[in-house]
Amino acid sequence: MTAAEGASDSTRLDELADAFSARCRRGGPPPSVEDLAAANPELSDEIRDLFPLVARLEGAAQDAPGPSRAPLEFPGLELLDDGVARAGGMGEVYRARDRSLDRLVAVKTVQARLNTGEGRALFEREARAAARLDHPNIVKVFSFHPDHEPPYFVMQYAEGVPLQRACRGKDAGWIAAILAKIARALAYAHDTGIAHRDVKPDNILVDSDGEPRITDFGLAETFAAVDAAEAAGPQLAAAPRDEAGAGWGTWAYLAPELRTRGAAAGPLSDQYALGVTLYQLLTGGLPQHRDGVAALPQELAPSVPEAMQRICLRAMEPAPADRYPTTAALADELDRFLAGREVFARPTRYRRERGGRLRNHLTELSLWRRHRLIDTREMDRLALPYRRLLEEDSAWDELSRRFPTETALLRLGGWLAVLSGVLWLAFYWGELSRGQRVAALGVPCLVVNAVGWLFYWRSSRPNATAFLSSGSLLLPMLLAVVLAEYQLLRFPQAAALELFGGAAAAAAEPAPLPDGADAATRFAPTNAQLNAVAVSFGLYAAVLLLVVRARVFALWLGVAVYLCTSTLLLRLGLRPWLEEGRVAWALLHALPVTLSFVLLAGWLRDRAPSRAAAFFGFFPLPFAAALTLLARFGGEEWLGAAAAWDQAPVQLWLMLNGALYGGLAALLGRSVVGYERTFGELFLLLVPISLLVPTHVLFDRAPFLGTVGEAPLSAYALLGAAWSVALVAVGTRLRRSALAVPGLAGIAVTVWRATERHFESTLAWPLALALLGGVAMATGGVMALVRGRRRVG
Amino acid sequence: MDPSADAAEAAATTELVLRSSHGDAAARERLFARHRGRLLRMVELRLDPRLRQRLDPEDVVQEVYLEAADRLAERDRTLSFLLWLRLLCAQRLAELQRRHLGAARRDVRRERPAAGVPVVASNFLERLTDRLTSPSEAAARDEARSALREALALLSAQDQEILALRHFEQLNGVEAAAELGIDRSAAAKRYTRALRRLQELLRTWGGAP
Repeated sequence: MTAAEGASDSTRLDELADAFSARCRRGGPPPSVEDLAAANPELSDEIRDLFPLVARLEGAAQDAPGPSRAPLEFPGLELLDDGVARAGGMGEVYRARDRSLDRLVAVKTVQARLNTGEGRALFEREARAAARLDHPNIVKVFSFHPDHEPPYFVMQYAEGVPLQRACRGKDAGWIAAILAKIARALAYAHDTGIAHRDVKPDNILVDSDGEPRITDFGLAETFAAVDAAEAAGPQLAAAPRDEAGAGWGTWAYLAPELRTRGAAAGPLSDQYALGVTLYQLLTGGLPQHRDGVAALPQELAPSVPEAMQRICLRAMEPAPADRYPTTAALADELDRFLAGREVFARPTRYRRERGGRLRNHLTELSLWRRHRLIDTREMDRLALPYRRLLEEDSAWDELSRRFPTETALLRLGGWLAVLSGVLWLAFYWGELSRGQRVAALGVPCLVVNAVGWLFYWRSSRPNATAFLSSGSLLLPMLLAVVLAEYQLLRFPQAAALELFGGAAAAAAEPAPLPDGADAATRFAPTNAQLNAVAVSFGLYAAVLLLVVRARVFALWLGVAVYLCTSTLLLRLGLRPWLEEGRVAWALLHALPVTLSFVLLAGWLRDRAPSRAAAFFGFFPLPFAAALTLLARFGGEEWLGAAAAWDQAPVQLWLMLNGALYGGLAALLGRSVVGYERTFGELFLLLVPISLLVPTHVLFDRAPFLGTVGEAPLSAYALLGAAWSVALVAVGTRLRRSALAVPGLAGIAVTVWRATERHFESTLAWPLALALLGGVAMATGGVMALVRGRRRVG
Repeated sequence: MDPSADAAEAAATTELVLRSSHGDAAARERLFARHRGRLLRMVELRLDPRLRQRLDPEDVVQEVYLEAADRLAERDRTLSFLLWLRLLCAQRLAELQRRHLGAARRDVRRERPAAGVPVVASNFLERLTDRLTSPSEAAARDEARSALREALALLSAQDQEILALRHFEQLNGVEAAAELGIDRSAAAKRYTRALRRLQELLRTWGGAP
């Protein structure tokens, strides 16, 4: 082949490519490469090799606005703009005047190259989906003409410019306001059961008043069986969901689950697209993912507010479960941003980045220990906050760490509701009818739980936690009262084993409670009832832990599991064993339970430290409980302890126990195994408590101090207070919370016992609490108002 | 069908140009509407990314029209109408980039209008791979698209330019040659060479996601 021939060949090839490209652009059936190769045998190899690529390039370039085609005719409509179309996703949109009504309308037809079975089915789907929606921010469909060639539908003419053009040069507040409107409109479509599936700035027109209108439901799909008959119709059946459904939509706005897993599009993928739209409006460009991570909006446009960045990142979360639960929740969040209030979004992106840095710190800390720069205890103390941050639900803790005043007030409110119900029952039990007893707990329980779940669905997780944490405590109480009041789960033959009432009550009252309301002057649930209550409490706590994911529910779960095992032991006969002095037998039954807690806590510590915390108490606590019971019920002949609780030998045994805890704490504290050190800390916590209680009791009874019952502030109270203050001081000084916390508890006990002597009625106590709560709430409310005003100003 | 359609197209354009230059406003509107898509693509392709925030391609095209309407009578008749519009557009873009970015004054002459405002590779890639286009492509979507994008990114600027001219700005072989200021056979050679290189890259890389 000579050079001249080569040149003429390539020129010929070039001309063929020109014609070929032109036919690709013109629409209709795609030109056949084979035919062209057959018509030009001398170039057939090149054509077969290169022209599919030409078609691919043309296809890839096709969607940007292209040159116009021959104008179309639609009955009753006069096309404007010389019949020049604006491409919109699958179709072409023309501006037209409706001759009969003399108004501007938009006409949308299917693009010629997509005017095939599948494309037509999608087009019809768009018309029907859009026609079902009636919202000021969604373009309305007036009529649909599937029999016309090409098929078209007439819709409201939305005056305006595409969203990104309207947002150019606008500030974040303006963008948030317009996006909130769009999100509300989308939420409305989602509530109707329609996902847009092609949300992007091009598909949102903004008029001169700044009102956005969503258009181009070209890929819209009913994701719920809103209209089963229609969904089963022949048109939609022609476009099976799997082929036509997934994979449409504009690439950059396509949620990852649709890109890779072919998942069905839905409200959450629309939300992702809206997130990308927000990103684009804030930064002026599409997110460019490198290693799955796009630059933060603030890195590209430093003026973007951090809260907006969080909203954007949360809507763009790769995992759908991490996005806002509903599009309405996204709109709510934008509204919160606009009102200058707290934005709750905590994108996983922040957590991931923080995780990497935290792990570096932890490695560094263990290096310090290895080089003996710090000792093991110091390492634990330094590492603890880092570990907490690393945990799964740390996004949560971030909020609770900052603990906004509103949240504090709501928590207080929730707890006061709990307290009021409980106190009412506690003080007026005998005077209430059965219905009143149930209502006293039932009403606050329902209200607090309902408010909690409401907050949860509105994405306000800290407030949800506040309410659900107290509501979930009310639930078992309510259940216990209901079971006891309606005498469910009563087994008379087990009366001897009962924790409350027990053998004595059963003997004195052979007929079990003739009329609940009159006879039951005392709240006395059976062991079986307690067991049922503990199980249901545990189940509720587990659900809350999984759904709401707050650390407090792990603690609740631990408590429930502990109650559950304890009541099981009671049903086996713990009480008669102890009363008969079969302490060793009782311990033998308690031991496996305790050991299983130890193993569980150890196993969880490295996997989910926050959950492990709930189980850690259950080695030292049952151990301490067993030793305390031993001191109390040990039997004179065996341990030489007297039966009465407040007698000196029992208290001396308790103090001896305290010394034992101290020894264990010292031993475990030196361990190199992390969770054993945690047990050591807990034992240390027990030491002052087991010393404090006997101090209180002994001094209360001590003959050498005289009778103190009548004195306004007795000697024991003073001594107990001194003990407690000393503990707090030493604990603070040594930075050992294990010492300071019991000290604080001791001070509280002292105050309580002092007030007990001062106030005639026990009702003064709850009243004082309510007063305190009221003052706290009023102060908090004023603070929140002042802060809010400052932020707005 | 193709040659006659093209000829009819060209004749219609010529007539519209003629009527426009005699002051027929409606004809001018239609003439501009006809070229709007291609000019828009040119601006989108060549606008400096730093200016995307500040400038709307639609506005740039609008300004080019205003200028074209003023100078229609004195236009350079050796150029086709499209290439003349492209020349105005390139001058306008160079002017805007100089004003906003303080770039050095670029020489935009009639021999090689678009050379002063070269194709911005990232614009090109973003535009080309942005969207799904047909049901068949939807089926094989992500591998195909990312492969095309990667392969295009590996081409030289010259190869990218000719492919952008031909398939994105939709110039034909003759117009592309005029635009590049080289003769027809050299342009054809450049084009087929670019296609071959792209095919080669796709063959080597295409299978991998």
